[in-house]
Amino acid sequence: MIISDHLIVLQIIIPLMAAPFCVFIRNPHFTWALATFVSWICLAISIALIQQVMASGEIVYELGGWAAPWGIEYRVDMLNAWVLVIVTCVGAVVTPYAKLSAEKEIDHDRLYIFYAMLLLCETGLLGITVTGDAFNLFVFLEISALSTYVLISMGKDRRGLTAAYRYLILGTLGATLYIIGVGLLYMQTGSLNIADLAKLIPAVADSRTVQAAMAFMTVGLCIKLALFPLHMWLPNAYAFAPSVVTVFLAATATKVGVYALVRVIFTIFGGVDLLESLQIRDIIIAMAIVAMFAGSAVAIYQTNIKRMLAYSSLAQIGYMILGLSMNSVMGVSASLVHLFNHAMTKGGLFMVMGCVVYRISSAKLDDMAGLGKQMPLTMGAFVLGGLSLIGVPLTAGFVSKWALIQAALEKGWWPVVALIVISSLMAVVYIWRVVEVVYFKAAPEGRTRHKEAPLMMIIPMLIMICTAYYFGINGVTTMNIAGQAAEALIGGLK
Amino acid sequence: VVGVATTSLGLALVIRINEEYGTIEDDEILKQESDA
Repeated sequence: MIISDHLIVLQIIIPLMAAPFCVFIRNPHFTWALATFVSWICLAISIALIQQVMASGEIVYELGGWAAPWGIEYRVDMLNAWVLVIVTCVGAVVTPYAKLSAEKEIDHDRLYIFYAMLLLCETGLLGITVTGDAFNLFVFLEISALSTYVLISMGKDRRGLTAAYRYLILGTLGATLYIIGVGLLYMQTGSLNIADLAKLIPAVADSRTVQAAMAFMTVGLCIKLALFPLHMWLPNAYAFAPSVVTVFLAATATKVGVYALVRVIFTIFGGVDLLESLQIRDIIIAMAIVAMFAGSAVAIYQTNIKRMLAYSSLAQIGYMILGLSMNSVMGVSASLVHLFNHAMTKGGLFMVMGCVVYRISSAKLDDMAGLGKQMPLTMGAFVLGGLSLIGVPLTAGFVSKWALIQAALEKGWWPVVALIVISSLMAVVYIWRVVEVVYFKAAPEGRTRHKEAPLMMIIPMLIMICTAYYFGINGVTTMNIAGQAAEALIGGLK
Repeated sequence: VVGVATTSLGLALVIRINEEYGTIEDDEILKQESDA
């Protein structure tokens, strides 16, 4: 079949072409329908791709027939295919949800731009994932970043504007650092192709240029994925962006950032293991652990629940980076499975907040008093999502934390195991604060009774939460995929 | 190309910030935000 040969490139081209169409159509209903349709097609393509990869291994696609390393190639192995599925899954659930939420929180005459930007953002994230070219990765990074700045600034809260501006400055800084690193590598090796770089770097690994390149790329990407202490842009951006934008970004953008970091560390520099030889690994482990604690601790004191969940994301990013820094198959697969599990859990929780904001126009904890009785489904979903965030057994959060703990035990890092458990317990505190106010505090006198959120928002939200539970009970599929991806990565290292 | 796009988007955001806050001074914006 001719189409199946071009699936990889269609994954990018379809949302990319649909975005300008949205601007031409302008009608908010049609643009929404188009965006939903496209996001479902993207999901179908990514599922087809992962099946292809499972059946026949890595897929390589030369753009325009130019052979690598001169031409740009798209390259999909288990890891890329996995991240593609995560991003498109979230996209496919978020766009139906977006309709009502966006109508409420974004000016009516700008809705078509919103859908165009959402599609462009998805294009950028998918592009980062499929590309096999380090420079092309930067281009997609900028496509997703520029559309993200616009999305964040679209809300009715004016603080979204300053949050977007702050993100623009820091995001551009991160991307610039990354591209400086790529430039240094190009100077040293004459290649931009990731697979080619992986082969060429061991010969020149001793040079200061390559080491500097590694430093630039790592720090640049860490800004993008908001690893503590480079996270300053994230909390406000998530808190003041329109709810649906927060759902999409929280569940995809940082995950793709982690993916890019994995590619840099384990593929581009896979042959030389610079993290170990330059002893950067200890620094990264320390930052990951501080992120786990600082994120959770700050989350406990937040009064805006969207902001609280944003800080909790920082802590979760800490877990992912901790897994990577273990440099073992177990550790990396724990991180990779957490990408998916956290995407579903946090996406579901932010969707709950989207429903709350839709009804009560506020994300403040005090305003949520008594909502447990008035919006039982929404708040029930919050409790379920919260349990998964904490990592209670039978939830997806448990599967990944268990894997992470096992990986730490395998290394004999007992203190790290204790730290993982303690920081998970901190999540109990901030989730409980919400549960207490929502269920045990009476609604203030004279406040209008709020109805349950509309079904069109409830159903996507429940799909997200149920997925988190399905893959908590049946974690074998996800762990297998993550395990295979991790083995391929670490195998490249040996 | 990326630089031009980023700069123009940044300037557009500055204009929107000026519309909403009535100023582009960082300290005044921070003051307005902490008062809110």
